[in-house]
Amino acid sequence: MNRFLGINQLFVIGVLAMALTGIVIAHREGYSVVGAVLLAAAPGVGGGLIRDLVLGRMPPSISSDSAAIGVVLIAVLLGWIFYKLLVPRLQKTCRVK
Amino acid sequence: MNTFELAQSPLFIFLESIGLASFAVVGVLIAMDMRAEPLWLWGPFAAALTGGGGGILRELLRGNHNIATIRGRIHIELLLGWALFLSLAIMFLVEHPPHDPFMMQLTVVTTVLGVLVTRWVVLRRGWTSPMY
Repeated sequence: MNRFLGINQLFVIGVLAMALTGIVIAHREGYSVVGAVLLAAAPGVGGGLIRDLVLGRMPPSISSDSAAIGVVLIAVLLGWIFYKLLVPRLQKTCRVK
Repeated sequence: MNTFELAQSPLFIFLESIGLASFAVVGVLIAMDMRAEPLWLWGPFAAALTGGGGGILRELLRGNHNIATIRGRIHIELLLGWALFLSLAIMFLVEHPPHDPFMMQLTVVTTVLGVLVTRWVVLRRGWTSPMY
């Protein structure tokens, strides 16, 4: 069945959105990059891991599908670029004007 | 900053709402994929674990034991409610052929929008879960 909003698309959207919540926290509370990866992965991937373990789904989606980890790492990289490169430049530009 | 303060941040609310709406559907579809019977029971359970479990893990990782999800903030309740709706709708569609992919899409989109709108209303009105 060709679904325009199927499980894979929603899974990626959900993992990305939840990973970004972790990145927002990591930035506001001053975590390291490793901390940001863990805080991003916990809500995006951790819930699915708990679900798979409770429901007995083997192998868990985290190990059978690397997309989730990839999305988390890309989100952390984008967050780092946003907070470390874009935000300071924007602030500098605004100050000059 | 605890989760109650974070819940006031529009960016955080927006991102978490999108994640919750997606995971409500993903949980039910995975329960359906695993043929967990009855779906009306396991669908909402899987959705709550997917959407709520991750958030609780994140708070534990931060060392925050004042977890808003279990301290009155309506979060898992929303997932349970909309996942139940989606599970019942899927059960109805499966039992009543012909199977129309459009109707399936419509229920998925309704669930996603339902979670987003309900969460917005809940936060706007400041509703909390009944306390024990």
